Order: sequence, then C-alpha cells, then structure tokens
Amino acid sequence: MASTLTFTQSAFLEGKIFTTGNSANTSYTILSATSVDRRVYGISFTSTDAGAQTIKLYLYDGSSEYQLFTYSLAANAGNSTTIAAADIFGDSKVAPIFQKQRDSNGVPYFNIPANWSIRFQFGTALATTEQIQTLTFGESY
Amino acid sequence: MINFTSSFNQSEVVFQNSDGTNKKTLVTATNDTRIYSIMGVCSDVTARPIKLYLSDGVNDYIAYTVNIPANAGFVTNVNPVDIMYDANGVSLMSHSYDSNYSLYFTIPAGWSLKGNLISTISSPYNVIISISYQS
Repeated sequence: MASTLTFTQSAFLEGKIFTTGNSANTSYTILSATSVDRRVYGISFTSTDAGAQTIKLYLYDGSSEYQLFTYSLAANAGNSTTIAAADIFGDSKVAPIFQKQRDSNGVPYFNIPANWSIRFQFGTALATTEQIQTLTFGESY
Repeated sequence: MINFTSSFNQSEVVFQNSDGTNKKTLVTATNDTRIYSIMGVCSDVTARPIKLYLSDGVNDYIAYTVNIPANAGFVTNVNPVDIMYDANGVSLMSHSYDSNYSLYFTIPAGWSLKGNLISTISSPYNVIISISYQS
C-alpha cells in the first residue's frame, strides 16, 4: 500500500458508435485501455434501435474478459423525449462493483487499472438505420 | 482530485426557423469544462424537443433528448425546462458533484456540446438554450 496521495490529472470522455456493420454477440471496446490508471464516473448508452437490446458488460485485462452484468437497453433510449439514456454505471445491478468507492465529495467511482478496458456485447443484429452509442467518462490519474 | 476552475461563462444559443433541424454548438471546451446548468425556454405554441450530443470533433454522440413544452418560460404557468437535471440525462449529468454538492458534467478539452431541434420551429418563434459553465 502506498503512503502518498494520488490525484487525478485530467478528464476523459470516450464515445463509440455501433452500427449494422458490427456483429451481435461479439465483444467491442467502449473504454479503451491506456497506460494510466483511471477513475470511471459514468457509462451512458443510447439507442436508435426500434427494439430492446440485451447487452452484456465486461472488464478486459488484455487477455481475458470478465463478465459484469446483463442489462436490457430500452428501444430508442436517449433518442426520444420519453425514454432516458441508459445509466449503465448507476444501475443497481452493477452497484456491487461500480458504487463501492467514493471521493471526498461522495461521488461514486470505479478505478480501472492501466491496460484494462471495458467491453460490451449486444444481443440482436442492428438494422441499417439503427445504432447503439456509448459514452464513458471519468478522470485519469 | 484537486482541480480548480479559473473562469466562468454563460452561453446563450437561439434556435429559430432558419436553423431547421440542424445541429448548433452550445459549448466548445477549449479547456476541460464543467457544465453546471442547461436551461431551455420556448416561445412557440408547439412543443419543441431538443436532442443533445457530445462531439469529439469527429463524431456526434447522442447524449439524450428532452421535451421543451410550448411557451416554456414565456407564460407564468409553464416553467423553463431544466435540461441538465432532466431525468432523461441522469446517466451523464448526475454523476459528479463538487464539495458544495453542485452537480456538474465535465466536457474534456477538444469536445463540444451540441443540440438540434427535432422539428423546425415556426417563425417568428424561438427556443433559447442557456448554459452556465466554468473552465
């Protein structure tokens, strides 16, 4: 255990767009690996799919995937005034890992080590006009 | 994290008939930027939903969509819309708060926040988006 304080240095935000060119039940990176440790504060998904999607979220250490949870992404999430963007990070199902550490302001975060990444899969092929979009944000140490 | 902001800013973006459904930039983050509030008003007699995007300069990623009711902020019985704290945007806008418990969302340097109306607003009405932010 270190005996010094570690501060974050800068904000990050990573977006991804998945289309009909991406395959169902195949892992795709939504937060790329970097050479520094990072705090993840939020993961938001939107969808222009007319149907709900079953998605799975994974941590990836560079060689193996470790499943975190399975989530039902609502049709048109975030793309309609009546359907919220999906709060993946804040979902209660994944609270056992994402909601356990808090900063001095009480804000939950998840530490993802250097060289690790976050991946996901969607369950049903996307049609030509359909997309799933992801935004992952936080701070880098 | 100990990050200090050094300047505060206010952005006012007006959507009118000539804008159609084109996207307009609401805030450009030259430095890392904290968004503290996003409010919308509408002078139209028809509701004008707005879709927000976060842009990395290459792609525009849908953030969320919010309804702005007819006459929001223009009559006593229809309030301005608190777009920042709308339930549709909780996944982005409600995850960070400062030591005074003020919610904010950080747009990293090089990114921008954009928006477009889902349908073209009638003339001579407009939708005004007011954003408070610190860099």
